[in-house]
Parts: sequence; structure tokens; C-alpha cells
Amino acid sequence: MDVKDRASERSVDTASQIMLREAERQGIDTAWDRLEAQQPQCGFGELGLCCRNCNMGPCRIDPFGEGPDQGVCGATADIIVARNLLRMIAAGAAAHSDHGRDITHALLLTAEGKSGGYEIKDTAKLNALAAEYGIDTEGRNKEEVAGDLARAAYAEFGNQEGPIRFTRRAPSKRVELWRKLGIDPRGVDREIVEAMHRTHIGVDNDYVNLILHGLRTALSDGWGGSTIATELSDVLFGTPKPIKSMANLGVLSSDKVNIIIHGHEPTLSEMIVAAADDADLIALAKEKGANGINIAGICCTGTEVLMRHGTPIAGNFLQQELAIITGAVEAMVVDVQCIMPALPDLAGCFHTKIISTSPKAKFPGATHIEFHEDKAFDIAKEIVKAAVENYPARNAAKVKIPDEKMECMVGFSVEAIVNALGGSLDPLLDAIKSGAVKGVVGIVGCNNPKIQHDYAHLNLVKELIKNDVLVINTGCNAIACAKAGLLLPEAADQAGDGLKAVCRSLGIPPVLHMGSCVDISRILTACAAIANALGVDISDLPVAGAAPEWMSEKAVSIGTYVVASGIYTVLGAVPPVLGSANVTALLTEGAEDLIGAKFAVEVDPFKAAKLILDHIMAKREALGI
Amino acid sequence: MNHVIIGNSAAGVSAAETIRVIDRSSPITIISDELHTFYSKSLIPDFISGKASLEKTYLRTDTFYKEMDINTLFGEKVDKVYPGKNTLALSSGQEIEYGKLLVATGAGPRVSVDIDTGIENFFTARTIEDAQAVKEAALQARRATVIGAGLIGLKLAAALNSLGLEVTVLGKYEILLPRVMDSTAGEILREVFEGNGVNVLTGVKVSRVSSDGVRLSDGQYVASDMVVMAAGVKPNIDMLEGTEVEIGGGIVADSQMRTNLEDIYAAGDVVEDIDFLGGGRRFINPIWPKAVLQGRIAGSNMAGIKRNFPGSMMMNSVQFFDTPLISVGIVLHEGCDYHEEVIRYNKKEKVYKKLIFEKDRLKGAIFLGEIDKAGVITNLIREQRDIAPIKERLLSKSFGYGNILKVPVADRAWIV
Amino acid sequence: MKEIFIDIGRCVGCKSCELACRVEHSRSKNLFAALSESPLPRRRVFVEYGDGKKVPLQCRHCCEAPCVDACISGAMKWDSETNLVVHDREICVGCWMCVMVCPFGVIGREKDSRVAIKCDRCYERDEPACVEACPTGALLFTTLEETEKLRRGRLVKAL
Ligand SMILES: Cc1cc2nc3c(=O)[nH]c(=O)nc-3n(C[C@H](O)[C@H](O)[C@H](O)COP(=O)(O)OP(=O)(O)OC[C@H]3O[C@@H](n4cnc5c(N)ncnc54)[C@H](O)[C@@H]3O)c2cc1C
Ligand code: SF4
Ligand code: SF4
Repeated sequence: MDVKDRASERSVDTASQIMLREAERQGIDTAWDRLEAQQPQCGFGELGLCCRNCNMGPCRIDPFGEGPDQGVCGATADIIVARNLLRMIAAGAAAHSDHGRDITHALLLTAEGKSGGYEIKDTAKLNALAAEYGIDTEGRNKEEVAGDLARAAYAEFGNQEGPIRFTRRAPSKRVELWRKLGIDPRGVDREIVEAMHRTHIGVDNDYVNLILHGLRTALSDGWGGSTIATELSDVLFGTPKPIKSMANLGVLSSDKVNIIIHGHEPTLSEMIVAAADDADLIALAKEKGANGINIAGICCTGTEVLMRHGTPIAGNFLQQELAIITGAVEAMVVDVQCIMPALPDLAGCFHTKIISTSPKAKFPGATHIEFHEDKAFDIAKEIVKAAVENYPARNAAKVKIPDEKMECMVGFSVEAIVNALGGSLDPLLDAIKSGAVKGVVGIVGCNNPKIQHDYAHLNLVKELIKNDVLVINTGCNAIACAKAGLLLPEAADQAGDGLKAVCRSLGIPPVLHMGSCVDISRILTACAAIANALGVDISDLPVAGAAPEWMSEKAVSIGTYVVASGIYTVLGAVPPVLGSANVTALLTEGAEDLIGAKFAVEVDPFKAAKLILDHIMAKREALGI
Repeated sequence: MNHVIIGNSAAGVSAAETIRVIDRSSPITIISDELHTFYSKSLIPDFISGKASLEKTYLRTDTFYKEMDINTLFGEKVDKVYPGKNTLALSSGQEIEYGKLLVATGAGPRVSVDIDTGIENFFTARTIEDAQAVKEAALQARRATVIGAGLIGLKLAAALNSLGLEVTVLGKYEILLPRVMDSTAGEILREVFEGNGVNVLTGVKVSRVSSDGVRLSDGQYVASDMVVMAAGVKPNIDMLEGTEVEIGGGIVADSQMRTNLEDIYAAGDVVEDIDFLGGGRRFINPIWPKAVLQGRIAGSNMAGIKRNFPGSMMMNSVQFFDTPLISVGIVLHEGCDYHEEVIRYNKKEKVYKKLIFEKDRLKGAIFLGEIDKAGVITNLIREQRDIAPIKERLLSKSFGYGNILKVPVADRAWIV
Repeated sequence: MKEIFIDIGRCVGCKSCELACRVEHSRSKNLFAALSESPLPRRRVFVEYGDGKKVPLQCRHCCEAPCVDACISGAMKWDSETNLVVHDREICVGCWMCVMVCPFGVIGREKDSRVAIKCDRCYERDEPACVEACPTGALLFTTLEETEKLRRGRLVKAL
């Protein structure tokens, strides 16, 4: 097949296409090639019908009814599919929540004066959260308050009886519903542990009961672990405010030391960004022949510093390998989540050093420089130094940096949006009521090589803003939009007249960047605030969620807590549940009666947009607006 | 060599095709007392029920005989064969010469009951004409009686039942399908028939058939508007009367399908076989696949390529209503003390499986309700393989050819 | 002439071939959509288990095939152009004579419509769906000569 064609089939992003062609030229395999090599993928897995939960298995159910319809233990398709889904939710919730725990740990160390370089940046937020937790602030210094807050947040993980504090941001109707269904989460770790318990052989064998616990576990992530991660990050690193930066592989520099920070947690990236400003290291870089140090991000850890420091972002999930193929990356510094194990091998073809930092995430073939919060800055300097020292190894002949980069405006935390609206949500509510803005849709999630890179993200967003729907987004969708210029006020030109006018008058983009994937909690908070302001439940709002190119277990947890929070959610990739007609029906139909929202699956972004618009119009009608 | 074949059915056509493949030029003539081109007698019940149209029963295209360069004499009955002269006489008076002769005349219905003379509602079902007559009569009738609870009798009974008739089956033995089922399977089958509204009377003897019903020897009277007879067959061998051709229960042939006379061969239902599974039992084995195979063997030898018939064993497959059943080999072994059997019976699901062994050889099998993978078992019976290594697995849920790999198999070129 | 060969040691028993076969013989040709078709598409390849080995098996397209001999309706036929044993579901009456005689046990049944089901070697495709689906190369679509080469190559290696 034509090399050029293949690249453009794989991604709509020009920079990525260029690098894919380069990969092809050099005979380097990427995720797309590995996906091809995996074809055909196992249908039992695709349908969620394979169970490995005990060693009488593995068992699989014949979806066509000719072979076995039960596992060795007697588990049916319903049980196996529901158990597998619950385990995915538990894994996703664990990932987000453990991230939240790490942030809490950093805050606690900082409060106790034991962290190596962090300080409490946002006292207003600290006080607001303290108030939410009922922590006394009067006459106490911020360290004392932060210490109490960190300990209170810590306790949420081990909380046995609930409630998790931040769940109470939700409208009381919603909380009441959760209680009634028995899915009001009691503690983050508890729900995850219980999910693992229930899915052990011979425990929970009722698919409805299993899925309900899935909702509870996911809620403990969304309103628990993820919200804690977001809120305490804001305290520690500052609540994001609109800021301009650049996005795409073109942000890599041809004459500076390029360090890519990739992964999820801000604790590391914050320090790397700080260390890169260190005069000694800059001098060292010059000494090595470089014109300075350039930090760029990939995935959420990149997003965290993008929205707080304007650090440029090099790309989203599927661009991690492409960044290395530019031949211009001295070091890719990684922490946790969504870091492809393929990286060290790939880096071996170039001079790039993969530097792993988390004791939880080691990569054979990578350089491991373990990161600890108590010596954060020193370790960050060591890492940056290693990158700088690697600069002379760069082979200029191998360097190919695409020109593509795009300006973007990021950092619309809930506080920043309220601020942009002039101090209250009212202007937005009015715009929604008047119909200038038809609704609000949160678009999130990963990239997935099964879907043309960024295609579904961009087209869904464009379709929605064209129809006067305000888009708020996070994670890899936000990065896709940044690269495509949709995160600029000028993008309002692509919006429908109503939304365009609102954006123009406020000077905001039609697509608001809310942060990393744990920051989907910001979307929950925003929806809760709007619902409370209108005196309705979240499920009454003209809002929806979408994950057009999702792939990770985290995304499964996200989708589930979004739906459990009352928000209709459209998935762009088919989840592994179709093996059970009952579970599928529960998720895509029955859930509506249960919790006022449901899932839909639509791979075509245009049709997905239509589904969402129909949903929004129906909700508007029900609200009488 | 001038090849003449009597019988335009499974055995005859199979032989003609085989000869033609080997020998492109010798003349071949097929003689049949029927007018139709080659059709499937086995489809007669489906034709009656309407499941198969007349066209569907035809097994070759219109141009088949022409393409194969086969002469046909249809609607001509062979009255007599003259082995001394290598000729035969047709009922039209014409005399035909043959180089090699194949007798593939099949078997006709055995009518072993007393029938009132001149009645018009008594039928047999061996030809498509018979079937057409049954079909027409069924349009007028409300009640039908089928004499014979063997395979064909039951097939016909089911067909008439499907046309909405009130059907009674009369069987001589206590169980249905006496030669292919055992008593348990026969009982399940009875339930199946009765459940579908067919009256089943077994262990009865017909004393007389009249125009308004059937009188049984115990005095019972089964009123009916039509009677169909399907109780056994007898080989069509009249044309060999007075010749030297050795006749037993049917024509006796060697493993090359040759009779005791040099130029005369026989194949299909007309032949008396020896059951290679047991004790030299001689029997008529009136089944389609055997007729096709014997026709092929006969044809090959007639054309000069020596081939042997591997031997005959009973087998049959059919579906009655929703219940499929397969019976292979020797399934009744009362009185044979060296046999052992394994049975799986699920009463609720109406699934019954039985295997009959003689030491480490399989001798027979019954599958009722569930028949998947039966062919693997059939082949183990046919090849009389030593099944010791897999004996316990033969009726397991996952049994299949995969299990056989342990048993030596000659031709496995397709396994790397 | 290409045929489907089976490299037995390589089968891991994942049944990908069975699923691919059903998808190929579905109306939608899509796994997810095929699940809601009626009748459900039936498999024509069977992953069997015996003697510690997993064996993916489909119609061997025998010459002088027993199923063709046994078929009372003419539905099962030898196609001399493609060298395949073909089955015409329009003609089939569901008497299961073929099921009774297939020595490999690879003729299935579509119970509701009462017709036999068997491998058509995906005659419309360049490579049969089961072969394409096999992740380990346990199913090969190649010629006897090539297979012999492979087999001999292995024997030599084993020496
Ligand atoms: C109703 C019915 C259902 C059956 N169902 C099954 C089944 O499900 N499975 C199965 O395996 N088998 C079944 N059979 C049996 C199967 O049809 C026979 O085994 C098969 O037809 C035998 O073929 P043949 O060529 O030996 O003889 P036949 O098919 O009997 O053909 C012999 C031909 O020779 C002609 N002929 C006879 N004498 C003369 C003569 N003197 N001159 C000229 N022509 C003559 C006859 O008219 C006839 O056309 C069934 C049979 C019947 C009747
Ligand atoms: S179905 Fe069975 S008997 Fe028929 S050709 Fe295929 S393998 Fe041979
Ligand atoms: S089931 Fe169909 S294909 Fe098989 S023998 Fe009967 S009619 Fe022929």
C-alpha cells in the first residue's frame, strides 16, 4: 500500500502523518502497526465473554449459542460480562484514585515541611476546601490547614462507612437516588476492594447487582479519588487560569535540549519545569552546545503544566512514539499510566533516554531515576541533567521535527469559567435558557489506533459547536482540539451563531479546556453547580458526555461515573459487553430508568453528534426552555 | 464394450457415471420402466408432504444423459435376461444386446396382507407415480393408515400428518423402527409421534384391508379413507428367473459386485449383502449411500478398473418432527453375550445415545435427539478401529475427530 | 491447488476461527451485528480437543466424499471446477444422511431451517476466513507441495 496513504488513514493530524511516514521510511513499528499485527483480535475478548477469574478456567461462552453457555463454575454470559466490566471499572478507579492519593501525599509532606520544593500555591482554594470538610481555618497557618485537609482526604481512601465528602457536591436529589440504589460510595479503597471480591469466583452472580456496584465504584473515583486529585493539585500547584501556549510536535526545538514529560501526575512535571529554569542546568546545556532547555508534555502530566505554566504540549496519547521518532528528544521522563511499554525499544533506535521515575512503574530498558516528593527538586534536577548530558548524542541527520504547532488557550477550571463569566454562572445559565447555548457537552478520553487518530475527537467537537453546544474537555480530546486550533477564541467562527456570540462577548473559545483526565471531576463539579443553581438534578440538564476515542480502563470508570451522575454518555469505541444482551440492555436502556442516564455507542462522530443533540433538545424541552 | 444398465436410480446412474469417467467411448444404455429422469426415491415422503417439489426430486439436469453420452430407454421394462446370448428382452418385444450388464433394479414394495379386490384407496410408495397418487388421495381423505412402522412407514406417516390427516401407523413389532432402534429409543419415538397427533399401534397384525379401513387380527378395526403399505421390500429380480444367476434374499454378488456370471453385475437395493459387522448375516440393505457406492464399484469393474466394495452395514438417518435420529451398525444385540454397551439418556431433553461394542471395536450406535459428530462414530464402526484409547470419550460432550488423532489414521496429508 | 492444512501443534484453542467463520457467514459480516441476526450464523469450523492437542477442523472436501454419496436430495455435490464439496441449502431437506457419514464430523445443522451447514472454503475470498483469523498460523491455506516442504524442513531441523 502507498506509504503516504497509510499515514493519512491512521491520523488526521498532519504532524503525526509526517512522523508516521518517517517511521515507515525507517522501518519503525508503532502502535498502529502492532494493532495490525494483532488482527484479528479475539472475538471472545471483544464481546467480554472470556473469564480468567479462576483456574478451573479460562472459560468462554459461545456467543452464537452452539458451544458452551456456561463456564466451569456455571457462570453465564451475563455474569462473565458483568464481572469483566466491573473489574475494568475497578482498575480505572484504582488508577485515578491512586493518583489522587499521591497528590494527597505530596500535600501532606508539604504541609509538614517535608517535601523537597513544593509550596501551597492557592490558599483561597485551600480555605474553600477546608470549609467543605469543616476544617477550622481561623487563625491557623496554611500549612496547618493543609495538613488537616490532606489527612481528611487521605481518610477518604480508607473510609469504611462514607459518605465521601465531595459526593455531596451533587444535587441532593442525586445523592438521594444513590442512597436508594445502595450505590452511594462508602470509601474509595473499599469499593475497589469489594469489586475485586465480588468478581472472585462464586461471589456476586447477579449481573444487575454487579453493575450497580460498578456504578458505586466509579462514583468513588469521580467524586472521590479524581476530585481529590484535582482539588489538592490546585491547592498545591495553583488553580488553572486561562493561559496561552502551543501544541503539537512542532513545539520541539531543533537547537535546545528537548525533554518530554509524559504520564499523569503533576508532582513530577511541576518539578521538572522548575528544574529546567535552573541557571546551572541552562549553563550546562549551553556548554553541551544546546541553546537552552525546552520542556514539552504528552498526555495528562503535560496537560497539568500546560494549564498552570503554559508549558507547550507535544501531543496526545498516540503521539508518544512519534515524538521519539523526531530524533530530537533527549529524554522522555515518565511517571504512571498510558506510557507504552514499547518506548524503551523505540528509544533505542535514537539517542533518546526513557527515564522512568515511579516506583510503581518500571520499564525494562529505561533509565530509572526514582522520584520522591521529599527530594523532589533535587531529583528533578538530576533528571534534567541526565537529559542535558544526552544532548551531544543527538544525531542531527536523524532529526525531523514537523513544523506543525498551534496556539491554544487552556486552563478553564470551574473557578476560571466563573471568573470569565464575571463572577457567577448566571450568564451561562441565561445563555442556555435563551437557547444561544443549547447545552454543554464534556468530551474526554484517549486515542485508540482502532479509530483514525483525532478524527472522532475533532469531528464530534466541531459538529457540536456548530450546533451551539458549548464543549468542555479534558485529556487527549483537549490536546486534539488544541492542535486543531479549537481552543482559541477565534474558533468561535466555527460555532453556531448563538454560541459564537456568547464566546465573542466573553472572549472565550467555544471549546473550554478543563484539564487532565482526573479533571473530569471539574466537569462533575460544574454540572452539579449548574443543577443546583437551577434547582434540578444533573440528569435534567441539557448536558452530555462523550469519549470518542477511548481505550483505557480509566475511561470505563469515567464513563460509568458520568452516567451514574446522571449524564448521558456516548462512547466512540465499542466496550467489551456485547456478549451479554442483558448487560448491554442494562447499560444502554435500563440505566435510564435506574439512574436517569444511559450509555450509547456510536463510532461515527457525526451520528454521535446527532444522538447528543437529540438528547439535549429533549432535555431542554423537558425543562421547558 | 457395450454396457447396459437396468435401473435409472442411485445404483444405475452412479455406475454409468463411473464407467463414463473411465471409458469415454464405449456405449452405455440405461433402461428403466419409469418415464422420469433420475429422481430421488428417498425424497418421496418430502414430495408427498410438499417439502420437495417434483423438480426438486430430480437429481440431474435435463441434458445430463446427452452430456454423458448415455443412451436411454425409459418406459421400457426388462422382461427377461438371456445370459447365454448376452441379450435381454424388453416388454415391448425389443431385444437388446449387452457386453456387460448391470442389474440395478432396486427393490419393490412387499405386499404381504390380504386386500379386498378392486379397492382404489390402497397405495404403495416406491415410485414418484405412486407418490403422486398418494398425494392426490390425501387431498380427499381425512384418515390415513400406514402399514409398517419401519423407517419408510414412519416417514410416510409423518408426511401425511403434516398434510393434516389423521394418521394411524400399524407396526408388527412392539417397538417402532424395530431394526434400527432399541426399546428405549423406540419409546421416545412413540412419544414424539403421539405428541404430534399420530396414532401408533404396535404389535399388531393386519388381517385384511378394505376400502373403508383395516381389520387387525385381534379384531380391532381401524377406519380409514386411505391405506399406504410400507412394510418391507423385495428385490426386483423377476427378469432373472430361470437364469443361472445366483439368488438368495436378493442377487448374490462378490466384492466387485459381479454375480456368478461373468458379464452380469448387480448393485443397490437388489443385492443381498453380507453384514460385515457380524457373523456373516445376509440381508437386503436398502439405503441410498450403499446403492451409490455399489454402483460406483460395479461401474468401475465393468469398465476394467478393479475396485472392491468395502462391505455393507446398516445405517440410516432421518428427522421425525423436531427429533433427528441416526442408527448405525448392529444396534440390537439381544442374545449376543459378548457385547457391551454405553448409554447416555437425558429424559427431559429427549436425548438418547447408545454405543455398542465388541471388546475394543465399535459395532453400532444410536443417536436420538442429538446427532452432532455422529459421522465420526460411523467411521469408527466402518473401519473397525481399535478404539481402546478413546473409549470413555466417545460420548463426551466435546467428542469429535480430534479425539481420533490418537488412533492411527492412514491419510492425514492435511495435517502438518 | 490450495487447500486448508492444519498445523496441529500451533493451535492454542482460542476459537478465533470459529468466530471468524460465523462472521463471514453472517449477513452483516460484522461480529457485533451478527449476534443479533436470526438465524444466528453457524460455524463451519470446529476447534476440537483430543489427546492433549487442540485441533481446528473443517470440511476436508474429500474426493468421492461420503456426504455426497449419502445425500438423498442432491444438495451435497462435488464441484469439479473448484474441487470443492458444495452444499445447496435450497435443495437440502435436512435428513442428516451427510451428518451420519462425514468421518470428520464437520457437518453441522441449522436446526430451525433444517438444513445442513458446512464449510464452503469461503470460495468468494482469497483466503478462507478461518485461516485469516488464526493468530498462530495453525491453519494454512497453501498447496500440498508447500506443506510437504514445511513438514520435511521440520523433520530435518528435529534431527
Ligand atoms: C419412500 C422411501 C424413502 C426412503 N428414504 C430413504 C432415506 O431416507 N435414506 C436412505 O438411505 N434411503 C432411503 N430410501 C431407500 C433408497 O431410496 C433406496 O435405497 C435407493 O433408491 C436404492 O437405489 P437403487 O438404485 O438400488 O434402486 P431403486 O431406487 O429402487 O431404483 C431401481 C429402478 O429400477 C427400475 N426397475 C426395476 N425393475 C425393472 C425392470 N424390470 N425393467 C426396467 N426397470 C426396472 C425401477 O422402476 C427403479 O426406477 C427410501 C426409499 C423409499 C421408497
Ligand atoms: S463434509 Fe465431510 S465427508 Fe463431506 S467432503 Fe467434507 S469432510 Fe468429506
Ligand atoms: S441433510 Fe441435506 S445435504 Fe445432508 S444428506 Fe440430507 S439433504 Fe443432503
